[in-house]
Amino acid sequence: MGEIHSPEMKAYFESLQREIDRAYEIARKAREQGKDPSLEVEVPQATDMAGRVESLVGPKGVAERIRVLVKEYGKELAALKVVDEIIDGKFGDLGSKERYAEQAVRTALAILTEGIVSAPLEGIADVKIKRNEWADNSEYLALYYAGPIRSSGGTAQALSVLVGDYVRKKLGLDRFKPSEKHIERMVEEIDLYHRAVTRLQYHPEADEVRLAMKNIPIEITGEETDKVEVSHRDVPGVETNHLRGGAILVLAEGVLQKAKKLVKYIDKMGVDGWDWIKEFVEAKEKGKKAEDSKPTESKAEDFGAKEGIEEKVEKGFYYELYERFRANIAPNKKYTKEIIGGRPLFAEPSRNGGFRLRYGRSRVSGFATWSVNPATMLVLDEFIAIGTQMKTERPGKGCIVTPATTVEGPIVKLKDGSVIRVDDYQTALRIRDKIEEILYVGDALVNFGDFVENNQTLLPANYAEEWWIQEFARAMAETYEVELRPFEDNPRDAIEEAAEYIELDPDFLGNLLRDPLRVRPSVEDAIHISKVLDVPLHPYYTLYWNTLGPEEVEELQRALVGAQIEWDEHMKNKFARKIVLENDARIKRYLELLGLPHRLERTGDRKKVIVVDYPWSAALLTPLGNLEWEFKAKPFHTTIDIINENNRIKLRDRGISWIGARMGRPEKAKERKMKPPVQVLFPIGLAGGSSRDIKKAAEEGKVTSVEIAFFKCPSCGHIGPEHICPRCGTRKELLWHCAKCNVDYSQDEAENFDFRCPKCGMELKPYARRTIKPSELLRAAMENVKVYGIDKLKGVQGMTSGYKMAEPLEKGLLRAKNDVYVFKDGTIRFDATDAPITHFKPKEIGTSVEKLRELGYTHDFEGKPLERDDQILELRVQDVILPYEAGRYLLKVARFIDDLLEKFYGLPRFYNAEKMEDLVGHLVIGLAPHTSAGIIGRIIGFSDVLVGYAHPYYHAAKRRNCDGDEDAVMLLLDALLNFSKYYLPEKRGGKMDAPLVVTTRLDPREVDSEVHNMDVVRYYPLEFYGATYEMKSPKEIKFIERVEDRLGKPEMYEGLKFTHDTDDIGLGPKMSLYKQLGDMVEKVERQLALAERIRAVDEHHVAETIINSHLVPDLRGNLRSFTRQEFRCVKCNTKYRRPPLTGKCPKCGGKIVLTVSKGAIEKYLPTAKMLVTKYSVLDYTRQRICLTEKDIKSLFENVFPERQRTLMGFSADVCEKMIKERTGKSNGRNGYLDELRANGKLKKSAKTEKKKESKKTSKRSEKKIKPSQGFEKAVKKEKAAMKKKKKGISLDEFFGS
Amino acid sequence: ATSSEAPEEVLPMEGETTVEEVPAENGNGYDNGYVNGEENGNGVKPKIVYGDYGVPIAYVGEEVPEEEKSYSVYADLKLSPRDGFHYRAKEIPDEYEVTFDVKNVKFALPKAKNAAGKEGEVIIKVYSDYFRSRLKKMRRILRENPEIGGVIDIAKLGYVRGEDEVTIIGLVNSKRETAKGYMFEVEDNTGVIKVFINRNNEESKKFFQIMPDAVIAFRGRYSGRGIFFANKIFLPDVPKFKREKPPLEEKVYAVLLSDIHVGSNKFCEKAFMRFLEWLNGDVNNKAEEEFVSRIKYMVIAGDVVDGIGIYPGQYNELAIPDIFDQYEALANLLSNVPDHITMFIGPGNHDAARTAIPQPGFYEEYARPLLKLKNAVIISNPAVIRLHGRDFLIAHGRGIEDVVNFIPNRSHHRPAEAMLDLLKLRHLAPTFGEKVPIAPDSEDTLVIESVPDLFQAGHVHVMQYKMYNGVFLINTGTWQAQTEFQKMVNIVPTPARVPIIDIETARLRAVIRFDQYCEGV
Repeated sequence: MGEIHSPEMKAYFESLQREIDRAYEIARKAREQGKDPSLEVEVPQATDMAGRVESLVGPKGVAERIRVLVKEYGKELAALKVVDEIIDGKFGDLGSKERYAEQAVRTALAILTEGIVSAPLEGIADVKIKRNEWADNSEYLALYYAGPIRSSGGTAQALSVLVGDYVRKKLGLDRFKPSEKHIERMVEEIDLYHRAVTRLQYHPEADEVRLAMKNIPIEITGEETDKVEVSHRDVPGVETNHLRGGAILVLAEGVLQKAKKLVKYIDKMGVDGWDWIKEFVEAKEKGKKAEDSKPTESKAEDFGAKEGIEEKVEKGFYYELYERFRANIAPNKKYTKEIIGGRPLFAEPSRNGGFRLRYGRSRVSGFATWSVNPATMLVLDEFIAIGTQMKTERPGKGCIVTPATTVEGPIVKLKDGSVIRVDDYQTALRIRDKIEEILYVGDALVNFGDFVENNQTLLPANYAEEWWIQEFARAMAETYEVELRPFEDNPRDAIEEAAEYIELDPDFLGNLLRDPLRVRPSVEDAIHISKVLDVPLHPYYTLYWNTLGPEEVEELQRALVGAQIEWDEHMKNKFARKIVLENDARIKRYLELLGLPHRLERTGDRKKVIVVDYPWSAALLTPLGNLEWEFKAKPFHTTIDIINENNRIKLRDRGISWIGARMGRPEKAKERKMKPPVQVLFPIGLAGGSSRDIKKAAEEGKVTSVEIAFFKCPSCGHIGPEHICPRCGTRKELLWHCAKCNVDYSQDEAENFDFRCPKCGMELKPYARRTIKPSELLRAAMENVKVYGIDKLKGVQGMTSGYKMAEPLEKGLLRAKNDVYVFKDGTIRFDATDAPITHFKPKEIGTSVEKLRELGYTHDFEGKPLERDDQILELRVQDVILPYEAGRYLLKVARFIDDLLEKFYGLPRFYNAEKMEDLVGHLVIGLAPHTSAGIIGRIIGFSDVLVGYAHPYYHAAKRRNCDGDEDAVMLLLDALLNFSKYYLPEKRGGKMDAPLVVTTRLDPREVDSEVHNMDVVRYYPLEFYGATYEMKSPKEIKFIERVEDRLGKPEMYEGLKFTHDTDDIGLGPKMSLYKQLGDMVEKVERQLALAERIRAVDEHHVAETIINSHLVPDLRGNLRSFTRQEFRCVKCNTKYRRPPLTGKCPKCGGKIVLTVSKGAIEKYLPTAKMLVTKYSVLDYTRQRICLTEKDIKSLFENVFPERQRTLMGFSADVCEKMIKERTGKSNGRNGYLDELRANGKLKKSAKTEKKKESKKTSKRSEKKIKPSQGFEKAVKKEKAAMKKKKKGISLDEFFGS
Repeated sequence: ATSSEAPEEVLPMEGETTVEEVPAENGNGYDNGYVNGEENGNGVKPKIVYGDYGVPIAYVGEEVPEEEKSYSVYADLKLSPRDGFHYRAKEIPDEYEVTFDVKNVKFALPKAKNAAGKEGEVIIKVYSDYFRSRLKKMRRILRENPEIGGVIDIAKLGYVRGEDEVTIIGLVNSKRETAKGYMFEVEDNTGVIKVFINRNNEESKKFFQIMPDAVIAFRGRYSGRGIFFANKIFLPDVPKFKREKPPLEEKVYAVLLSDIHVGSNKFCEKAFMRFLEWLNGDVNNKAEEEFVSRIKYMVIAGDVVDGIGIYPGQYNELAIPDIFDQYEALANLLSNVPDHITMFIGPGNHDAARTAIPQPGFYEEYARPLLKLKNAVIISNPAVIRLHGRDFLIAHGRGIEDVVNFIPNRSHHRPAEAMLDLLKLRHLAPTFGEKVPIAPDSEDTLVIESVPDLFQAGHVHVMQYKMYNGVFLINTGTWQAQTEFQKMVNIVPTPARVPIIDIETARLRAVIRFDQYCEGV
């Protein structure tokens, strides 16, 4: 094996290691003072997977063996070899067979999951050897899975079963022989889980579950994860009657979903007795093939040269492409089935005018991240900010959004009737408040790698500059034999030669080739180029011709014939300088749909006319042959087909593939605070009030009783929660306690008694309920660190850790002083949405060129020496760019650490950071939830966004992708000094999200393999665009280099490329509008106002979906929980299933309150009512809301009786109107009914018509009604009406509103 | 990708964090009412809603179909009695009375301390009044048992000498098994106490029949250390023997129905029509002719229509996705019941009616066609009707859900046993906070105050009957074939069976089956 990194990378890793060592040295000195639970630093380093596995699950010494075995056999087989060695006792005697089995399974699973996720620790609750009591009483192996097994992913889950079986055989145990009861129980559980808890990614058929249960030779069981009961109860050997989430996942999403992969491993690992699964996979494949056979046939057709066996119809090229497209790739509606209030739908599935697919990867995209033009973010009302998650139609289910200025922005129609293309941020800012309609949302830059990752058939590419420039270069080579290369500097003589041939300015040509995304020819040059080289018209001047039907273009052409046109000429090419047209609504709409910029102007006779200016006048008329030939619709031909048949200059379609998306969750960058916030992990019970304020408890001189670990001084006998004796400075010893006999034992004594009480045999506990005096403890701590003037010191009510050791109060004081908060494990965290970045400019991250050179950034990504702050640099894989928020917070943390070193440990200050920039070069640990292994990162700068930018590898090292995941950073030294396993909660999952081990060196081969699919090229070749027209599977595309192709070579670290640049990685809204809006009413109003504006969105559909997916479940859920709610004492917080008879808390006499208020039920009702009033929704939905309203009213009819309103006739209330309509008890028709007619369905005919229209032409015709206007006001009114208890109706109301 | 965001961590401590009275809105209001659940990738936990039988269902995107459904509301169905069919029942004078109906109960209103009053306080007050009223009513029932004497308040136990046997009556807050026996926590108006009964005591077997919040009497001794040692447990129960009622001059019958579910695409439309034809004299034999001739009453115990929005995804399972039309359809069907048969119709959880029990009736504005039927009497859920001197307790029967959950060995498939448990506890839904939603009323109208001759319930779609101490218990099944949902939770309904009750004995005379006309059975 050759060297896997270049000298530069080697130096980089070495410099990281030096810094790491420095931090560990300091931490070691601090820890050895004995002021913490452990004398050692509790975050071991691991350079590789083997090291992590040993640190995480052991056994000791296994890392060495893993390294050897992996090299020899590969990862999967090595896992089994390790099992062999563990069971053979090579790592020591573990006692029982069960313990051998457990160790073997955990270690093997850890190897299979790269030693990062916490599944091997937390996902396997237990391993037991049980008996087939219901069968032959033979012994079998049972694996107890827990919820966190989820974090290991389906394949590893499935493999863990295989490993279990291997272990079983190795230990000579019999098979698990499930009874009918066991089998049916699992069948029910999987189904119930799918319905009641979470949708399973794969929901197996009952018979599949039965087959698996009958054949899997070990028992897959587990502890209860959800309070959902099953009907197959009390099955022998199954301890719970609730859902066993871990076991369900392993069976459904593990063994069954990954059966195909499992087969591969079965063969590879040579585990026998699993033939059933091979048969299962084969049977399944066969079934699938039978099903698929039809569509595949149609797929096989080749475009361009199709031979119809039957009658030959002549079809246009694009007509046929569209036909095949429709036949092969159906719109995927999944993401639109749920729309949450305030999180808008940006585009309906595959709808023209939604996100235009643009293939490519920017510096900040790929790996489940899309880039869009920042102008799009603004025009979408800033609902999308940098880092906002979107749920997408394809290729994956979700992504986050980052900016790219080199892709197209939206095309909008302004209130004054003009249409403009908004490609830059400044324009967007200027016009954002004047938008009438968003005709086209803009481009979404999606990288090819994501298509590979999701195995999404390639959609036909839309015509864009990166494609055109290659066609241009190819034409140059073919016509003039001049080799030109796009996206780079070409030799001057080649440029000059080419420029001469095609009569262009050589400088311009050079620029155009180097940066075709920013540099574009004038329209007359574009026409000229197309003419001489026979390449399609430049995409910038290509309109969305196929949005219009040929008949519509015919009509448009007729209008143009009668228009005033100013002509001009360039190199003998005629082109239009200006067009003035009559302002006909239909013609105007056609121009809008073409995406053609134009404006309205008043003429002398006060008539409005449409004016199309240069260059758009030429863009419109050139494809129509400057009206020199007649455009005529033709069957089986699209508009572009007809143009290409008749016109000298050809077009490629720029708008074939559209992708839908809605907002997912907003971006996040925030310090982590527990609820309520905590500054020190010290128990205070109820003495500190509701904010657990130790300071307050101390001031009030309270004495409190809490469960806490106490330590005894071996020399002077002092007892207290401190680790170091305050009297004599000796390290104290933990006291063990028997709760029954109320006796303490020293560590030695406890060990001698095997941690059981010698009197009563009870297990000894490392803690006891003891009385503490906060005032004394706090005073001593204040003296120690000389911190006095703090307002508050927030502790916890009680500890949930196994030892219940309290943190030194001094740490809390220093945290309070520096205004930072602690997490349950003793560390201080900052959470941010993950965002990828592979290249940056110094000016984007606020770090000077000098500083960057110091950090090893000596050259830019093209190999030029780093001199200016706008050069593009390739990011080193462990470097991170943090958000400003994080900078500010970590600065406080750094001060806290310095104070801690100086005042608590008596060591020199380390960071001495005064401003954010001083943190540059320092190390952090990145750690994701559900994992237990952190990765070292180096801060190289800060960006004014709310995401954590880091290398995709870095995120993959944490097992995250960037589709909206978020995770934490902490300062390395903070984790080393303050993290302790003794603080971790004992409950299941307590070890998740804790830095149990830290990886010091990132190896791309050992990170989540999803990132291996990311492409790393400068541009996608022409071949690729051809392949997209054939709708090939991404797997067939071998010519685009991906990370996978570089693994094991130094290039895996360096020389990654991107296809689309952006001016600034921080350009765009910082914070999603969603986070700035107030209540649900406001959110819904803004969301619908946006929906009304976007051509690609049907606002009625949005309204209906919000009701169905968000408001109704909330209303019905709260209504239901109200009548089954718990009651709570405000004082002692005791919960009661029903209110005590006395109405007071029997324990403390406190006041009893509801846990679900009446207000909670009614909260969304006014919003829902307004939605069904103003939007065209199904009658069913409207009735549902009206019934719910009635349900709420009737629930309280005996508590808050409401007198009937006497005059019903003139109510505008949607429900009353509906009832009147339907029961025929109308008190005279009036105007309101007509309003109902407009919105409601009653008039079935009217509605069906409307639906038809909206289906067929969608928002083709201009929409005028904007129901969202006044929405908020109306809801407020509705709210007031609900509040007011009407006692009849006043005359004013009668005559007035 | 693993879908997760760094969780908002919760304070490590025993017990739970302080919860605001109104749970803090986190921007989506998805705070309460759901079962655990991984988040769905929106950063929002999926809302768990509940289907029938309280089975939780995670919300799934419902696809709203583009086309509207077309359906019939049976407007053309016009049956008339067979020519020459002799209805003996026509000649027998009516003798019925609704002796208990929730609509007629005047609920005392809590006095609002200050006009605006805190809603929450008022509701708490009402709920405590509700349970106090239960205790009061139950004490009255228990005191009718001559074995029960020496009843004292829990607060006064301290004044009793250790050797004296006394009786306490209270609501069971909780119960649990211990190493040596069973422990209850019992509450009355004066206090709370722990009650222990030894496993060896035969009486302790009653432990399993006791549902939380039921009112129970315990006889025993007070230890002085906060524990009451019981040696006898009294369930309210019904007396072993019942006073004979005077015989009737002539045989007269009632048919009992429930859970018709009109509007569901699984509604056994043909079977129901066939049943209507049967009532109109289209009978198979002499015996049936005799039955039909003497049927004078029909009782329908709730879920007369399938309703709308009762569970997620219901739209797709509705033939009539319109609540007005559902009642229209039902009324059109029932208009074919011969005029001399009086129908008593009460609501269930699928109806347009209050969602929590008790349910006073149907929402007038939605169920109007039903209310307009000439020969129909709308009753509440629950209600007691007296037919020729016999008391019929009619309830929809949601309480069965909790019984099945709490009492060992009970099943949805044997509802009569669960009804018996309820009867013994003399309450239609004893437990608060489980599956049955209970409305904030100041009086408990779910107590079975007087012993009925017949107790009818529905809800679980399985017909079963039973006799106990002179009370006839019957669950009347359904007119809906097995739904997809029921298939999933393993519930096999028994649709289209009509029990005929002899009113004189208040017992079953015959079951006429129409299920051969019901598709999918």
